[in-house]
Order: sequence, then structure tokens, then C-alpha cells
Amino acid sequence: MTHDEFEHLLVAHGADVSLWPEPAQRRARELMARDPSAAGLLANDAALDARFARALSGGPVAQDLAAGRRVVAHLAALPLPKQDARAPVRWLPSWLLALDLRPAWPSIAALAGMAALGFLAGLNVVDPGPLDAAMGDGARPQVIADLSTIVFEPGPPEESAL
Amino acid sequence: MGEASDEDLMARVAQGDAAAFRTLTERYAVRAVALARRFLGNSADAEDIAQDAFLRVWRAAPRWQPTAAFGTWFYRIVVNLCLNHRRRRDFAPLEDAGNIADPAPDALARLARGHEDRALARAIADLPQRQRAAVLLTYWEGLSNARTAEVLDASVSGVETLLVRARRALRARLGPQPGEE
Repeated sequence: MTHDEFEHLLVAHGADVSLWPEPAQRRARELMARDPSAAGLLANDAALDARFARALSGGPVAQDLAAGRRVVAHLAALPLPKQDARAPVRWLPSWLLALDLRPAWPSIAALAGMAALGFLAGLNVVDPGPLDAAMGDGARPQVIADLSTIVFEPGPPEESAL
Repeated sequence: MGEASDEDLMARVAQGDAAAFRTLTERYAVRAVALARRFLGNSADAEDIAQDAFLRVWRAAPRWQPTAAFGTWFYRIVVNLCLNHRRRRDFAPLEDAGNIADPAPDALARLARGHEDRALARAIADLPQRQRAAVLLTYWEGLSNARTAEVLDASVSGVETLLVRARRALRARLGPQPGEE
């Protein structure tokens, strides 16, 4: 068992190794026997769990209760908007309903990246060749096989090569 | 007669039943505000998020399919709104509201504990967004890793990876935990 696997098991099953599935339990004990840092991690994780339990338990505080009441009152006073009356599409998973709620920036970044790559590829990969060749029988554009030139600028020639 | 389930209420909301919608808002408003406040670090933004989330529920209700629990879907809406939210106000966890002088004998211990809790809240607030969402859903809302995965639209192992990274960051930030040998 690696340290990484051990950490994943801690997250999946908690810091009480006796509650882990049997094979994982045995391998974890072997790891802790040969690697004291794993045993230290276990103790630290148990303490962190206790800290979570203390700091993050107890449910909403008075400020949340008051804010919740304000939200309910505000929504009750609002004229509710028109509902999306399009018929449900039964074969689509309902998570698609929340599609517009997904974080927008990764999609935008991916699109921008693809557009930039397409632009670079257009500039570098396909060389239309000289006009006179295009007019004659060599009308097919030349394809530059070495794609690395798009990304990597060739370095300066070695001094010895000059 | 028992309380109507979330799914029954949603069926009525889909028919434009404002009373059912109000019951849902009463049921989930505090949880939505509390989760958003923990995520964003201030109550005013959290109220905006909760209100927006409910309006989205209302609009989408006729198209909603009960393939997952309403609560899971609703958490997903709140978390996604938080992820998209540009923080407009400074992080100010409620726990910063002040340390009132306390004459009780264990006041010092409580003060120290309050200090530790605030440090943890700050450390969680500084986590990358998806790690923060995973930590809050799992350790504060008490969702299982599987349900957190549903909310975050991730695999269970993806959530475990988020939690592993978050715990590493928290350990590095907070140092040895109290009570650790």
C-alpha cells in the first residue's frame, strides 16, 4: 500500500482502521509498521476529524436562521417569474436542467483555448503554397508534418555549427 | 397526516402551486443560506444565492424529473451558484463576530477553542473552490462521499481526491492538530 492509497482510504472510511475492509486493514497496518509517518498521518487525521466535528457541527447559527427567514419572506413577497413550461425530456438526465448553473469559466476557457489552437494550426499546419502552384496542377496545399514547430520555437544553432 | 415529501411538493410546484413552493423555501432556506455563507464567507451574498437558487427551482420545476432526491439537486444548484459567484464582499465568518468577555472558569479554554475554530474556518475559506465545496458538503452537511459526488457531478473517487487534497492543505496550514501526540 502506498501513502496515497492510505490517504484515500482515510477519506473513504475514516480514521478508525478497525472499521476498514479486512484486506485494506491488514495492508494499512503493514504500512504503518514499516513507515512511522503513516501512523503519524492517522493520528493527525483523527484529530482533524475531531476538529471538523467540533467546528462544523451544531447546524445553522442565529444569523443563518434570521437570513433564512428573510429569504422566505422576500420570496413570498416577490411576483414569481414565469415557469419553464417546455415539456420534460424524459430520456435526458435531470442534471441537464442545471446545465446553466454549472461554472461557466472552465467551458469558456476550453472554448477559447480550442479557438486559439485552431487559429495557430490554420496559420502553421497548412501552407497554401505559392500562388502559381495553386493555379496549376499542384493545387493541393502542402501539409507541414512537423507539428512541434507550432509549439516549440527551434533553438538557436549551436555555436559549433556556425 | 404526515408532512408532504420534497418530491410531492415539487410535483405541485411544477403545476404552479405557490403554496407548495413556499413550503419548500421554508424547509430549505436556512440550510441554503448556511451552506452559502460557509462557502462565500458572508451572509449578504449567501442570501442572494439562496434566493436565486429558489427562483431557479421555481422556473425549472415543470421540467424536473425525480431521478435524484430533491435535496441533492437543490444542493447542486446552491453549490454551482456559489462556484459562479464573484465574491463581492470580504470574507467575514460569523465566528468573527466577537469574543465577549466571559467570567466563567472555562472561559480561557473556550476562547482558545473559538480561536481554533476561526482558524479552521479561514483555512477552509482559502481552499480551492471545489475542495471547499467537498469539505463543506461532507464534513458540515454530513453528506456521504457518494452523495457529495452527485452534488458536485463528480465520481466518488474524484470526491475522495478532492478531500485528500483539502485535508493535506488544511494540515499544512493548521499544523499539528490539538490532541495529536
